[in-house]
Amino acid sequence: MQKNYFTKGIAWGLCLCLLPQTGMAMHIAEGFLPPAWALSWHLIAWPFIIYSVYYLRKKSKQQLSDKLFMGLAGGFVFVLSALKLPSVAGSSSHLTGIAFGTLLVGSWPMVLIGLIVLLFQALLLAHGGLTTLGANVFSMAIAAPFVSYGLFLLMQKLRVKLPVNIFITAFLGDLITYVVTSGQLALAFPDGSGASGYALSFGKFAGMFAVTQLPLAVVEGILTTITLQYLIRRNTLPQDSLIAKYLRKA
Amino acid sequence: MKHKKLIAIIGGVLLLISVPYLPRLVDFGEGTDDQAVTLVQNIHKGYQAWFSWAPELTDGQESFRFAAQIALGIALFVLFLRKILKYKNQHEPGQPS
Repeated sequence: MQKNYFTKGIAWGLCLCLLPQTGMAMHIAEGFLPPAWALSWHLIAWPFIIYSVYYLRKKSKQQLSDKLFMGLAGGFVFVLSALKLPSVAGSSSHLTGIAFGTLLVGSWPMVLIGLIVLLFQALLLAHGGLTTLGANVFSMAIAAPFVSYGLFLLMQKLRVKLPVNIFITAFLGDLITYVVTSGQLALAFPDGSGASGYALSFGKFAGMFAVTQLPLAVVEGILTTITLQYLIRRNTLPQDSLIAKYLRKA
Repeated sequence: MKHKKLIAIIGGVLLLISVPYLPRLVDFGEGTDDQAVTLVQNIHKGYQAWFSWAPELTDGQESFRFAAQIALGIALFVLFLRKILKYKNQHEPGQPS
C-alpha cells in the first residue's frame, strides 16, 4: 500500500515537472521597498524567526513525529508556493500552503518554514528578494499563520463544521498574505499625503491583488481541505495539532 | 472504488497539466508581481528598484526552476508521509492507517 502511494506521488511529481512554468511570485520584488522600510521589516521579522528556531529545537526534542510533520508541512508549502495557476486578472499567481502547515504543526514552525521557502525562491528563482525578505516573511510566514490559527479557533467556538472551518481558514489565510502585502506597499508608497494617501494606496494594491487572488484562495481552500481530510481519515495527525484537538473535543 | 480513485487521479493530473496552457487561449495580462511593480511606478513616477543582484532568467530557466521546486516539494511530502505512516505502524500497531 505504501509502495503504491509512493509511486503515485512520484508520478504526480513528474507530471508537474512537465508543466510549463513561468513563475510569478506573490512576494515584493527585490529592491522594491525603500531601504528604510526594507530594514524596518527585517527588524520586525527576525525576532519571530529566532524564536521560531528556538521553538522548533525545543519541540523536536520531544517527539520524532513532530519533526516528521514539520517536514510534511514544509513539502506542502514548497509545492503550493511554486504552483503557478492562471488567474482571472493576471497571467499567474501563487498559493501559499501556510494554513495547511498551521493547522498541522502550529504557527511558530511556519515562520521558519516560510523563511526557507522565501530564501529558496529569492536565491534560486529570483523571486521576492533579500532586501524584501523581512517584509515577505512578515506577510506570508508571520501574519498568515497566526491569523489562520486565530481564525480556526474562532470558528471552532462558533461550532463551524470541520471541513468548512478548514476551507475558510485556508481561504482567508491565503488572502491575509496579500492584505498585509498591500499594507506594506501602501506604507512605503502612499498615494498622496496624510492618512488618505495611505488609504488610497492600500485600496489600489488590495484591489489589484484581490481580483487575482480570490479564485486562487478558493483553490487553496479546496486543496487544503482535501489533504487534511485525507490525513484525518488515515488517523495521521500530530497529537497537539489544532485539528487533533478539535476532533478530541467533538 | 479502485477504478474511481484511478480515474480521479488521472483526471486531476490532466487538469493540472492543462490549466497552465490556458494563457495561450486567453490573454490574462500581467502577473501579480508585474502588476504590483507597475502600480508602484504609477504611484511614484519612475521609481526603480534600488538594489538588484540576481541575473535575469529566461522563461525556460524560470520554468525549470519552479518545476524543480514543485518536484522537491512533492518528494518531501511523499517522503515524510511515508515516514509518518511507518512511525505510526511501529508505535501504534493497533490503530488503522
